[in-house]
Amino acid sequence: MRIGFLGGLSGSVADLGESGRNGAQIAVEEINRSGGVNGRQVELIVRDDAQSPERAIAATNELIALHVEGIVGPMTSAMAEVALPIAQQAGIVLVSPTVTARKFFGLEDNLFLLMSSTREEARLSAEFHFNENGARHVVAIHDLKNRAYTESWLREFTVAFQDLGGEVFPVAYESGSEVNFGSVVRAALSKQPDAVLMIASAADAARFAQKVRERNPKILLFGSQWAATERLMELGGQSVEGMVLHNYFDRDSKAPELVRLRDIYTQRFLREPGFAGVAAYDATRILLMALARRQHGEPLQETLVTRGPFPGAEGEITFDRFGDNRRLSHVTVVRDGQFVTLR
Amino acid sequence: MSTPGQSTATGEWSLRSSLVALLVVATLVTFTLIGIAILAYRVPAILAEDREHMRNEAVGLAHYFEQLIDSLEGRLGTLAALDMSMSPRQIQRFLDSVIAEGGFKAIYVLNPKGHVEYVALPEEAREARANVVGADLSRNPLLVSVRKFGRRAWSDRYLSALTGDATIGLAIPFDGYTLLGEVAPGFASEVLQAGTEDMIYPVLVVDRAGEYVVGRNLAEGDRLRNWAAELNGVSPGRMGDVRQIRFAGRPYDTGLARSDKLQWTFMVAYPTGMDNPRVRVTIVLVLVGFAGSILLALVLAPLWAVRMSAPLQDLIAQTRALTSGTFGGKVSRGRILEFNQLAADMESMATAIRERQGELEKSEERLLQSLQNVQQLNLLLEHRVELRTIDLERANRELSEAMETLKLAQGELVRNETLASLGNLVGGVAHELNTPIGNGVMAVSTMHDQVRTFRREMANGLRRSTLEAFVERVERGSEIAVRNLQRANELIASFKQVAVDQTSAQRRRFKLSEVIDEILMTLQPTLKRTPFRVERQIPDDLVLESYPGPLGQVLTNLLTNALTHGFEGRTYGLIRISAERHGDDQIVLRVADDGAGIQPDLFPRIFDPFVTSKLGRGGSGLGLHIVWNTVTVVLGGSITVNSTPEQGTEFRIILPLVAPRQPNNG
Repeated sequence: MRIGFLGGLSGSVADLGESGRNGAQIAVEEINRSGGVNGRQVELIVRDDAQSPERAIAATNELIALHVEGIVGPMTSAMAEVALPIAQQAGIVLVSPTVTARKFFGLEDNLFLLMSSTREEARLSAEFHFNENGARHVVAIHDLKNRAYTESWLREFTVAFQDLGGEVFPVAYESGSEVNFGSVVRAALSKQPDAVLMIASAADAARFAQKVRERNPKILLFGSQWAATERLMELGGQSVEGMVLHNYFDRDSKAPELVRLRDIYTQRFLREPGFAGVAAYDATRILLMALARRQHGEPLQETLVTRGPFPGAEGEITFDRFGDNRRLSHVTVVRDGQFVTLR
Repeated sequence: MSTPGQSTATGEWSLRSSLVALLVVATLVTFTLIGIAILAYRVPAILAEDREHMRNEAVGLAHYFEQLIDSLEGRLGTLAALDMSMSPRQIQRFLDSVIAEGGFKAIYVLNPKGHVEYVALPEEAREARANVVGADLSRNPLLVSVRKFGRRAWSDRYLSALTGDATIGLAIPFDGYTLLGEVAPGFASEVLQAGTEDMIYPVLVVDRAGEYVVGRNLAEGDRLRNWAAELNGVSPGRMGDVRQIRFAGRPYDTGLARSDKLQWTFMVAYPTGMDNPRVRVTIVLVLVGFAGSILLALVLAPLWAVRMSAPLQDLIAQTRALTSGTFGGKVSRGRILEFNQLAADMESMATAIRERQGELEKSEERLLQSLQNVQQLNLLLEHRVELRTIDLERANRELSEAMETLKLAQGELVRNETLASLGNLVGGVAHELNTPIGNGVMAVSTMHDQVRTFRREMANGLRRSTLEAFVERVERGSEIAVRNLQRANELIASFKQVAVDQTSAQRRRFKLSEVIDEILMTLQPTLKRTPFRVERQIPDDLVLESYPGPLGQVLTNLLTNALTHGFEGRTYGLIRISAERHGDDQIVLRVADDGAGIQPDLFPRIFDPFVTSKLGRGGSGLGLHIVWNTVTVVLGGSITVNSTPEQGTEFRIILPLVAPRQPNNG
């Protein structure tokens, strides 16, 4: 029995893909050690979308041609945009650990989402920073390369923040080797904001943070969950201290499954799983468990919707009829090079 | 007879065929054994050699990588001598000159706080410098480790501070500063390309965490996966190791070597088992040899067989000639010693046969003469026999006539015997009837007397008491008369049945117990006069469709026999009659006495006619013959007898429940 994994394993978002793949690999190895799915051993087939639509289409087709039972992924909304129509046509279920763009929610499609939509996260973020941090003028740097996600996030945040009485100035850039981080930051700070929002990957967010701190050591930095990986600290150093982000799981949680997963992951891969690793582990386990629970002749989508709840590392997971999980993310802050959960 | 070169339908083989088969089979078996031996010895040896080779390749590759990494380290190491008090422009120039030598895509100088003070980039990427200068890399894992241990270190997989891409980095601490070099992305793959130019099987380099660094000839799935599980426990060091690892689902013997400096594992794979090219070549060679030997054997064996069997054909032809009487042929000689000996022996055998044949012919003549004598004697004998035969025929005829007469006499006697038993029956009937009729007569005559007496008394005047007494007496007398006459009536009805049965041989359905009771009743007068007893034990449910008359006669005869022969001169005796079911459609009827038994000299002939122990004293000698005849012919059963002198005799009669129909009374 084969299942696929689709994620970005090269380029600047490789950290997300790699953590996801590692989480999926642990889940598959665990189920194989316990006898497989209904006695069948599971093979994980990994494909790299390299954050490019062409590669994502090719990789999805390849996985379908290999007769996978379902796919864990993709890891970003931009890739979900191209992979979903292909999977939909082939009747293959996508269980995405990390896709959050608003447009995928509330649809009866083959895409199952573990995280709540950008709307929930962006609203939470808007309320938190307006109420708790007193932010009123926010400049939002966002990456056009993952437009499906960033624009959705930005839109939801803008609506919510403006409703509260704040002001949002968007600054767009497109990630890649030619980006001049200094000039983007210069443009952003010229708006005289009291907070900088980065809807960007960890690698980009870290370097924006560096540039912001060079000019303004005090200003509030915050970001979306996309940047909440260990790489943020690795590349950002001191400059990301105090940055507020969102996280799929509570890093201070003592949930035994989560603690166990983090131990196994760290020992095996020599680094922390991050939200992508934990979510991909959950997504893979859900997919495998649904395959095991599926009745003869039942579409997998139906199994996922009707035969829940499924166990997650931090608690049970249930899908509504649209295949959405609507789980609220946690608010975290970087303190001494570590993520600390605020709520 | 088989013709040469063919096997016959009965499975015989000609010498030529069996020789061909022998040669072919011997060749095949030999080559199969040799082939298996070669494979059994060579295949593991080849695989072992290749494993050793792969181990060396992996160690060599690790060494090669380390050498090139050393040269990079040397290049960066020269900068460790920088005097940071020099002018920034000068420092930048030094950095740029090192980066121009290639191998690095970025070189940073980090100040004690971990911030980038200088950065050197290749010509084409200089404009990105502004992104980097001033960046805070204090949490960079490589920097953290270098600071912790205070000596130069190569990174594991390292995220470029410039692009965020995964690459490898080298950090060298000096004077509180740190030099950080990021190796160009193409470097590792170029080195691998150069180090493994002629390899067509998977080559893979993974980092400490089992993550892909660079590789060749890999499927996409193998490039994207994590290898930590496969490498679990690889012994670090330069001696390397060999394991079987699957690439794209197929097993490969994989040489493994670990670089201490880089903490990388180098894997060089070579197909194992049947996929191993050298193993395949060996197997193909063995198969070609095998096929060649079959062909050669098939071509050579018939030629050899023809040559071998030619003298034998000659011998066979010669033997046939001998059989048909042709002598003097010479057998040709071949090259095989045994065949030549056989040919010489055959020739001398032919001579011996010829001589003996001459002698045989002579003695045959003599034999013919004596045979003629015998024939004359025979004729004489035949004549005499004829004469005797005529005499014998006459005597025989006379005997046959006497026999006929005897048979007639026998029939007469049998009829007499039947009549005698009828006489017995009538006697029995008379006796039985005697009592009730006598009683009846007596009662009636008594009544008659009383009537007369009553008439007399009536003349003197009738008294009431007298009338009452008379009526009572008449009533009692008539009661006695009626009872006895009824009894007589019953007896007559029962005898009637016996008489009908006995005289008509009627076939009907009857209860065995009833018929036996009736028979016993007819014998009652005879038995009464003797001290002997008869016990019967007949189940009530035995119903036969048979001939009750003949059956009664059989019983009567057997009982009479017991009384007259068995118990002669005795004061006691018991006859037991019993019957039981025998199988589904037969019964067995036993008549046993505890009398004198049958004399041993009579026993074998007991059912023959005219056999009696009372010859000349009243016995006809036909009783048991009639019994035997009736049982076997009329009733369709069989009878056997057991007897012990002075112990008793038991007749055992087996009868079918349904007797066969007699042709004459349908």
